[in-house]
Amino acid sequence: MNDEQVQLELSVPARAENIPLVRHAVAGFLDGHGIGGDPASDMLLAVTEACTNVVQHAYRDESVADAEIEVWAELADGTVTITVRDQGGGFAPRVDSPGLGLGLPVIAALTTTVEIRPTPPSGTEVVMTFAPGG
Amino acid sequence: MVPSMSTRAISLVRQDAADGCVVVLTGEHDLSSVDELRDAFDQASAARSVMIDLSETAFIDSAVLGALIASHREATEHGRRWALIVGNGSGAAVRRILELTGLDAVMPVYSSREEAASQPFPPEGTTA
Repeated sequence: MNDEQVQLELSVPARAENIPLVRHAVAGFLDGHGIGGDPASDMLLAVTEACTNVVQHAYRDESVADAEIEVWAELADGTVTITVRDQGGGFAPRVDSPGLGLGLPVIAALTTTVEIRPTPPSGTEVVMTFAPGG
Repeated sequence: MVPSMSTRAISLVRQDAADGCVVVLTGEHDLSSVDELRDAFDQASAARSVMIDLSETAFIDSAVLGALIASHREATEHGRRWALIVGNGSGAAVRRILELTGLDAVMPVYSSREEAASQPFPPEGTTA
């Protein structure tokens, strides 16, 4: 197996207008490594949902300056790993959620594995893997 | 192919003779355009027949689904005809998210405007 790792790393202000920018950057990364079609489409949908979660939920505490979405994409041994991280207040119940609550179920359906974990001292990361063949 | 960075647009096509309105979504849509989409759906809701045409839509996510569901609910509550058009030009993500969420089974989805237009109007005053 090829153990070479290639990576994409970017950080953008956590605003809705930057979600397409992240998606296009990841699309470019995937395209550059020969990943297209339905597998790429699934990855781009998943990363979009993860970024939407950050914009809608992560930074409700306005004291967080420079609220950002951090994204890493990595290709190793044919498996793509995409991590979306924020420095926000973490997962918490929200009665005034603006969304449908479909984001995480959609991510779970599109990924081979997904882990959601706190990143002390603040923030959450969503680590999504996509293995060849699903 | 990876979805291209096609130009994003939202256009309203009024069909006065049929008291209809078609909202055409071009390119990629997500949380960053959902407010504009909701505005367009609101404008279209004055018509008796509303179609949301995704046949030139490269990408939608769950934020857009939320707006589609609200538009569908509003139309059915007022006895209007409402249809979603998913055609050959619709991106893979469009079909995928409709399928994953099961919304393609609960919302009226057609492959062309012509097919949607041939469906009967709901009886006046119905709520389903």
